Amino acid sequence: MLSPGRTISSRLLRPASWLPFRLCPERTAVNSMQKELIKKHELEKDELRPLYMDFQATTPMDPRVLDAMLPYQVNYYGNPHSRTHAYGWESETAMETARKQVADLIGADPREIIFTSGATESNNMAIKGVARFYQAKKRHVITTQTEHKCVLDSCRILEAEGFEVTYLPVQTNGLLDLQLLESSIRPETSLVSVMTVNNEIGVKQPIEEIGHICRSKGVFLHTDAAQAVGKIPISVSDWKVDLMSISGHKIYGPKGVGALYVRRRPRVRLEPLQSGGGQERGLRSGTVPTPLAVGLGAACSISQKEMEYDHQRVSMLANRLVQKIMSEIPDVVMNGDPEQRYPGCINLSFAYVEGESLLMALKDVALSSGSACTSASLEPSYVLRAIGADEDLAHSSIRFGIGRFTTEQEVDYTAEKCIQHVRRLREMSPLWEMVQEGIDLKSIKWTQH
Amino acid sequence: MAASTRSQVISLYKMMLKESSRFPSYNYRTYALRRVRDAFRANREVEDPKAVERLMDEGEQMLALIQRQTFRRRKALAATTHQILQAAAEIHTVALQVSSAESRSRRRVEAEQQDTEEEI
Repeated sequence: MLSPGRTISSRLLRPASWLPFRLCPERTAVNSMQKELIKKHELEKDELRPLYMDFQATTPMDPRVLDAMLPYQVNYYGNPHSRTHAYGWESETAMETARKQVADLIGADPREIIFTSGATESNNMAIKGVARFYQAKKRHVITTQTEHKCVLDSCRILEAEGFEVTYLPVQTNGLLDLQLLESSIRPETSLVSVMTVNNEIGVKQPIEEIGHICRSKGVFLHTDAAQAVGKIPISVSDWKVDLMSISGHKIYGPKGVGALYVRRRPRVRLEPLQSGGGQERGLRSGTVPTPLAVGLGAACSISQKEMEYDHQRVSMLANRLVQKIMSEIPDVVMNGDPEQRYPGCINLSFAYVEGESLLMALKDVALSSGSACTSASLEPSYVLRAIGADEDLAHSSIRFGIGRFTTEQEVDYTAEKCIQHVRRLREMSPLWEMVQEGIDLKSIKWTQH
Repeated sequence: MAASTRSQVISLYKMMLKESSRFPSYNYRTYALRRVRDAFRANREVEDPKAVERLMDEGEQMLALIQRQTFRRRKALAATTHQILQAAAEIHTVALQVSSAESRSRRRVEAEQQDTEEEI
């Protein structure tokens, strides 16, 4: 075995009279076998990893994005805000190109895009910034119960500052009721925040109609489009959206970068969250990380080119997965509207099976139940509770994420393993036995021991 | 002219498939192979020579990108390490030979001296 302390260089510095242990002839055969074992062990760590089926949590970086970013990590490392030398100029050019690429994807003007550190920062900026700027006359904010945690938490902070926040409920299919929204808007409402595609159930909200309602009432519309950008066609002018959050690592770009679209006509004013040298129109001071911005731009332009191809492929794979699972095992519920959805996010509830145990049984597939930010707690997801799912169905939900790099073999393998383990876990379940005998579970009176 | 373009397209396709199969990651490898195949298939009917040339340029750029991304540095480092160790072994062997040759020549010189002493 290679002794741990010895490196290659220390071996070379030894005096010539010392014979390296590894090169003794009688040891060579044994050592080559050990070398093979070590190599095999290292290869296994790299190659035999679980299948990745969690594309809503994050996405792998597209090799084309990495290729675009590398020169800016290694060679063109200037600060884009340096005005006096070529390093700054070339960095700035790259940053502006990236800005144009992001703007083209959503149908905006490049001057309306602000680079941030991610969709969480964009959401914070949009909600807190707009609410605080207009707080003299308008102190009401509307959002939904199925928003991302960062939106809900920002609204909670606003409530602590004295704002009034309405958390609109959603229907059982996950969509917002437009009548309810219209009736909730008051003269003192400054902002409505509704996410475009939900990250847990994949439901696509009717943002175009919501935009028309908000524009007619003179209220700003903010949408968290982190899961939607690059996957469905977006036009901020058609949809009448005033603020939009974009996340880099959900569209096969780098982690740690995002963008916020802030409309200029009619002008949306924000109170900046981060103060400093006035970069990014004064709304987000701080050096723009050029390699990350270039990566985000490349990811956006690749997504624009590949959108149709990816959408067709993801729909095909999603249908394949759902058809396979639902045709083999009964009592599987898909959470969220079957039509108004992004096909790559599938949330299935398997009745009479516990979600965590199914996740642990599917140990060679990387899946999640509920979103990554709530997975530390054992509570069922608040999104499933908001759509009115039964408590026991909410506990047994699994989210399958399909993306650009998923293959048919991965989908087939996942479906087979899922079917096999659900059957096995149901065999062990007393609830399943009772259901097979025809007992209605709702009529049982459970007693305490 | 058309024949050379066709053979150029086919050779580009083959090279791209060969390079795509060198990705170490399963997902990247399958995506690259599938995407290259589908892209060439979708553009099979394109006739306009300018469009063909533009597509070929894009293809060449993609090929260069794949080559850059599949460069196996680890193999290069392992090869260098192997070379260094081999060189060290060679140096040591030569040193051994030199020292043994030295000792042999020293013994020969001593033997000669003894002979001369004996003679004397």
